[in-house]
Amino acid sequence: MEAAPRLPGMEVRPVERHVYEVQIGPAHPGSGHMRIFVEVDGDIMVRVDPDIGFVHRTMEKLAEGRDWIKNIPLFERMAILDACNITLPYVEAVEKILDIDPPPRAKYLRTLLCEINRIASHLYGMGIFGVFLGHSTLYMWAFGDREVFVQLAEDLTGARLTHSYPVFGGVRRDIPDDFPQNARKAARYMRNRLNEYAKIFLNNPNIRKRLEGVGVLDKNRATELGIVGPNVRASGIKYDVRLVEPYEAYDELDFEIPIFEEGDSLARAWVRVEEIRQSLNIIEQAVDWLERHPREGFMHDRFWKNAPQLYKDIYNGKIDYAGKYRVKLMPLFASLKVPAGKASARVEAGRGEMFYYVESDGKNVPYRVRVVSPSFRNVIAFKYVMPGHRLMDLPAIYGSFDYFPPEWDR
Amino acid sequence: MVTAAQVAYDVGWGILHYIIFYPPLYQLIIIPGLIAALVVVIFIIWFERKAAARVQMRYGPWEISPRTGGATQLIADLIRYTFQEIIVPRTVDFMSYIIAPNAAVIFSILPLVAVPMTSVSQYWPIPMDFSLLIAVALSTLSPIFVVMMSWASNNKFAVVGGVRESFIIVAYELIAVISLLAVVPLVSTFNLVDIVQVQMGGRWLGLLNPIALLDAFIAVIMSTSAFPFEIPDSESELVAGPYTEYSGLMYGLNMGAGYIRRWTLSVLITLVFLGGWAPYRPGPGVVAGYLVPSLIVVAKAVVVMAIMSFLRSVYGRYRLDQALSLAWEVLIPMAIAAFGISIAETYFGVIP
Amino acid sequence: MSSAPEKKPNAPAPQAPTPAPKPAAQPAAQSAAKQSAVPAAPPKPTIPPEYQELQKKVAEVLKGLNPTFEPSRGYLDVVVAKEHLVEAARRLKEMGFDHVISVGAIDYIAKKQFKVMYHLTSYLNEDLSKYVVALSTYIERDSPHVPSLTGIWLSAEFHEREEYEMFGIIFDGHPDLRPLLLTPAVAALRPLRKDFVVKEESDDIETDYEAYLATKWW
Repeated sequence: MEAAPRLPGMEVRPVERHVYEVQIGPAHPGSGHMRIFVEVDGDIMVRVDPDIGFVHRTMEKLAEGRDWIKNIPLFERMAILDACNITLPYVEAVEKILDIDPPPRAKYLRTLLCEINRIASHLYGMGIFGVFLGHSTLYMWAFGDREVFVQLAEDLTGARLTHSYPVFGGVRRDIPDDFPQNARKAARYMRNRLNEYAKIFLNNPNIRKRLEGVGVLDKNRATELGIVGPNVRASGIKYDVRLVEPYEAYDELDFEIPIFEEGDSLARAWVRVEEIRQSLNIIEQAVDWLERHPREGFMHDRFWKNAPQLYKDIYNGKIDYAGKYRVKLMPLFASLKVPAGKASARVEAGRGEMFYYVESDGKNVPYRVRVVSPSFRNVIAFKYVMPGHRLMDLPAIYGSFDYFPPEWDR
Repeated sequence: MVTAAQVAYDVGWGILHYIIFYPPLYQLIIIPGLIAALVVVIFIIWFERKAAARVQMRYGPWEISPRTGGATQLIADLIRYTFQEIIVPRTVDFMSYIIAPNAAVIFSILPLVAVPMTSVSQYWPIPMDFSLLIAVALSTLSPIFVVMMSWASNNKFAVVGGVRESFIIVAYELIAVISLLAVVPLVSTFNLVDIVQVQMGGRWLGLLNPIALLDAFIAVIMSTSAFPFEIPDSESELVAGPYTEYSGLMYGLNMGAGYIRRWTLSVLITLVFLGGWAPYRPGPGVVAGYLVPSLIVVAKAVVVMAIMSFLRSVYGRYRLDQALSLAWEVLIPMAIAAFGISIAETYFGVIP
Repeated sequence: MSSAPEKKPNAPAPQAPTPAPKPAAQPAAQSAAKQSAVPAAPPKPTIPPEYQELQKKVAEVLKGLNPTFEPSRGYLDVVVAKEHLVEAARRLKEMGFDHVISVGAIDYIAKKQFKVMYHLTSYLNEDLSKYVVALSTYIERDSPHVPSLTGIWLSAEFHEREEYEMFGIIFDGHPDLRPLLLTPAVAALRPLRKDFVVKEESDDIETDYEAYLATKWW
């Protein structure tokens, strides 16, 4: 071993004699862009070391050299299918420093897109989970049904995935006219489909056998590890940022937080299904509210009053703009200088609590942005939950935490 | 006076009679052997994809010739596998690396020389007195080469996959052997022709002893690592299990060996439990005495195989220990119970 | 943007401290400046109103450790001295803050200081769930040592590893202090410190490529 060449970045670690080390990843069909060092003793995993960072894009550093508004499209790249949830706390934190509060219509629009994103994100996670257990049907169903919500998001924002929808002081645009009935149709469709998901996957005896009692995290252990999101609610902890510190329009909406007590992989899968159900309720309520109220004021006055007349006409629906103009609201923010200060914000993203710490020193770029994504906080679970399980449980646990490497690598 | 036409006729007849329709060769190469197996495998893979696509609300193979439902996609896949570069890693044990997939294919087809396709003794490949025993014994050979592959690959995933495969071999072979032999007390013979003749009246042994049929069915699924027992090459933690280091045609051979094994065992199940060529009574001549009954057997076996393939769209995969405990704690007692049922039915004289 | 601009690690030799990285898009900002000059509202440096009550509680819990409260929004910034960090963490944990949301460090290069912040909240105590408290401390930039709080909050483990590789802050007593996201060679450059400047891409591809090859570390 002494003679072996030491390349930069290479680590040499001794492995015990009776232990067999398997490296799952990074270029591996069953892992994302991450590697898990697994030491197996027989069929039992004894040591698991997640090695992450294969898609690290230095977002925290890049953010320090970009204009405030340009960081929104940057942070979206963490989890493009959860784009609104991922960027919302950044926007909120900056709004806190700017000391502005978006108008209620903007809040509802943000909430609407957040929930659409949450459903899309959960369906994505469930699809991956299905294929981990070799259940290709769930994979295809979930990905197919996710398309419905991606379409909804496209109707709302104009982009399928990277919407850049919430901006400081409001949102980028209002709902199109046919959006409400599309949203209700999608909600009806999805409710039926969730029952079928339960039939083919969650109540399938084969899958239940794989998931029940696997990767159990009890309440105290989950707290100790700081797991977030649906995973922690599957362990019986009643913690959801939408509940404990309501942001946007969540304090005016009526929804439940599904809690499961078992804390195993099956419970984590069930929480996601139930959350999709609640999200559908929220979408319907938000759409009702948006229909009842006049289409005006989706941007804070402080920015809106500086907008050229053309923008105002277009965004208020006075000019039919489809295909005629290429309208960008972003120039409003190009010279934005945020006063010195620091703020943090958190929201409940699809995979859990998303946290931003933003510090400004009065320039047109942030001084420091600390991003903590939900997947990053769930990584630690692999290290502490997997040992003691069989090697074949690895995908069952890994998938149940709804991994998403680009998100935790940032 | 010997004319050229006569010579040509004689030679042609000789080739036809002693080479092509020479039963051991014919069975191994044409029906139900290599060529029939290839056609069936292509059909089954197509069916598997189409059925799964139907359940999953998508098209399945579609782009290449949508009029035939994308059937030629499989031919294209076959050609692609055939012409892909075969990459042999430096670290493998070369001889066993090359031999293992080939041997796996050969030993997968080998049981077919021991099964009869007709009751006309002229067309039996081998004497049929102990054919069931021989076929079952030969069918247990090919999985050993999967273990050999995994060892020769010198790859961690392959070794883990090979270990799983060997665990499963031990479990399912016992089930397959016991449940296939469970009919022997009922018919009191090892002769597959006699076994089929007994079922001629419509009393299929699968109906008389459904537990044995079910057991054999599950054992076949396990043996070919199909869903829900796709454990040795479970993609999500072992890349492709024992086949990780194989590429191109060699990988195709591995996949083919699995399908051919499933095919062989399906033929065996058809003969033992589902009446073989049962409603049809083979007449004289090649067509009536050989071709037609063999096609009936093929058709029945394809149905069995199609049912196995369909499970892919319903089930995920079991964990290794769950599959093993299912095998040892449920299926083997069931197989022994099937034996008991056969003995009881014999005692009460179900078969005259 | 499909991928981040190629990161070009500069020489690891310490440079003269530059106050802040160059703003990324100066021309764009200038062109847009004429149409929308957004007046910057003066910030109100206070403790947020909903945290007033919590501030009193925390001050009581941390009595004797001289906590100071810095103005912040969305969380309560509690600053204690480095020597008191572990004791303060223990008391806060007893108070109910049972897990770490984030361990973040900030490089105040002008003051030659790092600030290390542990953002805390609670799962099991539902009254505290709605608050985020940042337990923070200032440390010397030249000898960045800080006691690790992984022993108190296990959830801080990976966060501390990340700050270690990004800033070179050594968390004394951390059980497994290895780089997390970066390879050790890149982590040695301490990429999140302010004196690590991300070079912007220019249009001169050839020169860029030469420079890129020259700084290749592998």
